Amino acid sequence: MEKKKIYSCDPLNWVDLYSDEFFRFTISRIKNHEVAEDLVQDTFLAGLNALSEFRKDCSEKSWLYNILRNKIIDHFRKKVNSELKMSSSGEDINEDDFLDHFFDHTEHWNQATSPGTLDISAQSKLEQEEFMKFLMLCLSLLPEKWSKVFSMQNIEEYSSKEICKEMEITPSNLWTIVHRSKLQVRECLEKHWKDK
Amino acid sequence: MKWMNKILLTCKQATFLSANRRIRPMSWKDHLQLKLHLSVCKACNEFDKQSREIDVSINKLYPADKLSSVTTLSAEKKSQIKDTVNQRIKNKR
Repeated sequence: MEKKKIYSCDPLNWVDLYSDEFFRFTISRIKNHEVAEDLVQDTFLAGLNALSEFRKDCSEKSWLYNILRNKIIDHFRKKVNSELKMSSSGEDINEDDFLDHFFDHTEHWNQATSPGTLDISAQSKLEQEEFMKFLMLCLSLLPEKWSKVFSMQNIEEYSSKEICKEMEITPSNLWTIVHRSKLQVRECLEKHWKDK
Repeated sequence: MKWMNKILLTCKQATFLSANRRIRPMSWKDHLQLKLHLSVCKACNEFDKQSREIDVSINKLYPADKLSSVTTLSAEKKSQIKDTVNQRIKNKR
């Protein structure tokens, strides 16, 4: 394969261009070989179906990555949901009320939502794996825009500048999103991870 | 107490600085104020610690580039996907 600069825009090339990378990406998160293969296939097929929604001004690869990421998250969500019987919450957060949930009028922590301890780093390998599942779940509960920012930062290692450009937001918007995402993810982890 | 408010950050402000440690440039004043706040606020101190740990964990969630390029999709599966894609395109036309 030549370098990655080719923009194919032709689904016939997708397998040659992206399948290995997508597979590696998937298998490192979902240890099951067959499931990983199927998710890659599902991604291409979903991409094909949604081709008309693809905006030519963004990269085809990151567009497909986004589909793949959602497939992986769905997979985790189903798995964790069946274990936890958890209703998905947090999708429809009111922007204004959001910080009121955490801070009182003097901008200090509300007692109920003030961070408790959460032992993330000191865990056995098994616990780490379990923890990763919950992290994935908590990330998946973020509003779509926020979770996109997270994935751009971490999957494709975009710089803040690139994220702002592609999402059409200012750096302060980005910082606000990261601030709120962290508050929410941390709280979600404390709620669900601690009980385990 | 007014002068205190000028020096001390609120928890909202402190968590904002904490959460964005990796991506937002901090002035020396931010640094100092955050440090001061963290030294007196247990909750924010906990948040700061956990926020860093979440960063580390998220990075571990996405280690794609670090996986050796030896791991590839099997040729068999590839051609199967190609066939399926081809078939779908034909059906669309």
